Amino acid sequence: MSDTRTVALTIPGLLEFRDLAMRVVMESCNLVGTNGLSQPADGNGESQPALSDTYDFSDDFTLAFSSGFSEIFNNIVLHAYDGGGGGTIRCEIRIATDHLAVEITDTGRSFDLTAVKPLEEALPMGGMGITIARGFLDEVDYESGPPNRWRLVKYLRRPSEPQGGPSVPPEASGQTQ
Amino acid sequence: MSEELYTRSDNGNETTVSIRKKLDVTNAPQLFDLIAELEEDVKAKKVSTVIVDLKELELIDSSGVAAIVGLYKRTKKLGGTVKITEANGQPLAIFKLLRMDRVWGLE
Repeated sequence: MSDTRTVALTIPGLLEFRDLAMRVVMESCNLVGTNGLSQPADGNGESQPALSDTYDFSDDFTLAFSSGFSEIFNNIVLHAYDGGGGGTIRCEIRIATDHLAVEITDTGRSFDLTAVKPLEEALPMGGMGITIARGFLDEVDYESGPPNRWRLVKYLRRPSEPQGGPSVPPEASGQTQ
Repeated sequence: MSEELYTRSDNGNETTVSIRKKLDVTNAPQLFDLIAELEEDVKAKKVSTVIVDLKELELIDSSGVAAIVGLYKRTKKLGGTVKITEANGQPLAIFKLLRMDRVWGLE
């Protein structure tokens, strides 16, 4: 029997629904590495409140995945669906023991991921969304449709990292003491 | 339900803009009026320093970052000083990923 559990969510392709999708992803992050019934991934037994109106990123994994996911969701609404109207976004979230994978499909206009260039200036005014997603996630893949298909993956720790290795790039840790 | 995205307080030539909770694609355009207002005040020499206090900011995305970069660049271009301060949590992680922490001296 597979240890992977799947959660599916289909929502309107509108920015108003991004927080709802993000909350589901945040809760799913908490379940990576657990059986879904007891302890969250950080093992301290304290899960963030579900669907609260605060953004309490309880660990680096949740912070990183949610931030990357949010950028891709925005991208779909703004570019595939021209800001809204009509289409839906389906998120299939696979919660595994060592990683989280989210496949996001839309039926809007296709996107050219290969055209996204690295940021060239220190303080850019745009084009940061894909950079943020790529920086926080281990895999950001895209396949043109219809339907268009994004696949986002992050490992609880990279296979090459020792136990307890960082899940947020060292330069991006936002945790403060 | 809706709370103010930011508050502005003036102390002589120094203005503090405190941004709270969430700055993202859904509300970043609300900063555009503030940026225009600050530009006018810097031009008129009513304001020389703008402090952007992010202590209470919990969530930012690339659109929110672009709005803060816009405020920073446009105010600086007119000769004003801008200090981005107190970023923590998710916003600080985003600034670090984009290496803006080095430009703005965030820790």
